[in-house]
Amino acid sequence: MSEASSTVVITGIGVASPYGLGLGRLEAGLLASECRLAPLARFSPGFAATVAEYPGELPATCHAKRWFSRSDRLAIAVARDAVGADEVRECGVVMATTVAGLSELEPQLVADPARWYRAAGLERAASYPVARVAEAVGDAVGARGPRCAVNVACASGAMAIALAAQMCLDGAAPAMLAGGSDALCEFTLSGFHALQALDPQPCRPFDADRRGLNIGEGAAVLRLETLERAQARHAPVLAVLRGWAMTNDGYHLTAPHEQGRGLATCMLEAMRTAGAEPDEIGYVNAHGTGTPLNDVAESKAYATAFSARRQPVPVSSTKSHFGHCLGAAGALEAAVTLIAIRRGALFPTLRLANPVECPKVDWLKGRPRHQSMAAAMSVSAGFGGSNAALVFGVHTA
Amino acid sequence: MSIGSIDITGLGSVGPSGPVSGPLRGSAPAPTLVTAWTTEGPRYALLGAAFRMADVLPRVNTRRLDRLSAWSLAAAALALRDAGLDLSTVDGSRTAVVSATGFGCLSLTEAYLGSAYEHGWQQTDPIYFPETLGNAPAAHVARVFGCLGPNVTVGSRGPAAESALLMAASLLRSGQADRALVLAGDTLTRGLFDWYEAAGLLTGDGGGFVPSEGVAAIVLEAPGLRRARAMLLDARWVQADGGEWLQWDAASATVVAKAQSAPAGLLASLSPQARFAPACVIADGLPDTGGLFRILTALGAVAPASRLLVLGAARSGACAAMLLEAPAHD
Repeated sequence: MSEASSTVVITGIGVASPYGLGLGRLEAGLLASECRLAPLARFSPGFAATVAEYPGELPATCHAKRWFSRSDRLAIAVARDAVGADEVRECGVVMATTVAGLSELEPQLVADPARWYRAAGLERAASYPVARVAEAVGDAVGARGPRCAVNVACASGAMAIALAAQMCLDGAAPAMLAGGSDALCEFTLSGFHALQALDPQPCRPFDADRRGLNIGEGAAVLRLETLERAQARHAPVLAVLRGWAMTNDGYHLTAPHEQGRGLATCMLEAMRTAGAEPDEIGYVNAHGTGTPLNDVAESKAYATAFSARRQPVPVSSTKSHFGHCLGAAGALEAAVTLIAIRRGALFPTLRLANPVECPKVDWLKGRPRHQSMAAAMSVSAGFGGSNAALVFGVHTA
Repeated sequence: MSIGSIDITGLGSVGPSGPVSGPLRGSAPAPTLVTAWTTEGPRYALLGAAFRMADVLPRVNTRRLDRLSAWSLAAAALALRDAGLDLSTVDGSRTAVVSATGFGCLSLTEAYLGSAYEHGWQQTDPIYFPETLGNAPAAHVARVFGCLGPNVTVGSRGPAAESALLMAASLLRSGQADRALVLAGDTLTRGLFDWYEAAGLLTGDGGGFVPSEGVAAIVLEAPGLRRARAMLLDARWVQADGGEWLQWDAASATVVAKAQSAPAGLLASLSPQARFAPACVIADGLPDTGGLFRILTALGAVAPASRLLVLGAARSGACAAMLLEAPAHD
């Protein structure tokens, strides 16, 4: 296998973030250090971030009688953005979500399901399975390859990209659309509220005084293919997906391993598969939720994974800008990491005044820092102890 | 370690046939009249047979778990028992878990919605919420058995189980894991049953679609480590045009290729002596996740050394295709 045929590259990106639709909006918002967290209107106390521009219009390829959840609609919008005018019939689709059509279910359903379905809910409930998001994307853009949904809590988005990259190398399809989409909904807000995991104020990831997370919503889709195929069709190569890894803590359903064991292993394995030394990583986009347990475990994982590094590794959590987008988080943060590589910009963690102690980490705060880099890493973790790390690199023609 | 071929060394399942370690053999379970909740007339389903979890998995507390999580643990334990594999004796970081589910942890999702209905969204139950997550079953399997490698939960309209098997095989082939536990299944709740009813899928005579529930598990390992239930000779996605191109015609007992450009190569490669695997009523009642039950049933019926072509067609026209070979001696 030639290097070009065993190298996975990114040739398109679509984003719907709390800054709006498009990669440009995300980039401008991050460069301006704009915080999109706002007080919750329908669930208090707390802050959250929504996609201000609701992508309500569906393409003609979407079945008129089918109910599309908000997660579906966000996913369709970004997939179309990633594809542009290109023909993608042979593409496969791997989409992450945790919410899918849960946003469409109402508590009244459980009192009398048959009545609720008859009244309004039959098609709405049909949007509940996570597989529907991948189906919606595939149908909307005309991708007829394998379609799969990934449902691994907050690590889903990064895992979708990793699994799609592997499918590219396996020849499952010549190109893959991979990412995640999750809508803000009462189900998840109430769940994190019940767990007392929500910060009633804008979150402060990695701050010693952090109090929890804020939920966001959004979607992102990356178009993946082999370098060989991208070169053959003269497609613009935005970045190289140099390596990836997935692990599990095997420890607890909601708490990360106290020493960040699984996450450290994951980062080390991702660097190994990328052929990147720890010193080569110019930026880490952290999982950084802002919860007391996650951030301390994650900082310990950095201490382990980057113990061989000569200088502290620059790390930030952009969840401080637009919240935790759950199943979409890994894909959105992959897009942030690509912007960092392409623009040579290191984005700060907002409101970070008193960082947790970790000598191996250069906690980014204040204003964006400009610094070119050869490689950057996006790190995700989730309930269930799952971890994923993606290493992106600059493409040199 | 990257491996070329893969052995299926363990099979296990929990469902209408009860807890089973090994292939599914014998007569198929019969649908029973649904009495657990009010129906619009006589309705039938294949519900999971009751069993004591402590008999399958001693010293593991599953009291607060969703049924899908508890059954996934049981199916995994039964498959590992069939394989003779003690995961505590191997490197856990090299053990992957790939789980497929169509509807996730439905029982506790409905219970969580019920707590919101009763008390409001701000007074919901903190114990239920994390157990509603679709990856909770795979996470519990990782925690109980020490599987520290990739842990993935997938869904797919139609071939979710086959997708999980393909992904697990890919993890082994690419060197990301040395062994994998593959799980697939769903549970039936009143909410889902009523949806089938409202969609007009159920009939009063037990014909047509009969919903079922259960979880099946398969252990994949590098070849030669222990007795194989089957060898996974090939596993890949096959691209086909024309949407749902494969259809089982019960009347003529044949497979109908609906599109001329279907993966004819696959079908043509079947020898004239090819037989179709026995029907699997459990799998038929699991719209997305019945694939592993089909394999467990087929492996319980095929003669030694026979080859088995497993196909799972997606709406998109893509097809998960696997070629298995039963060992020469059982």
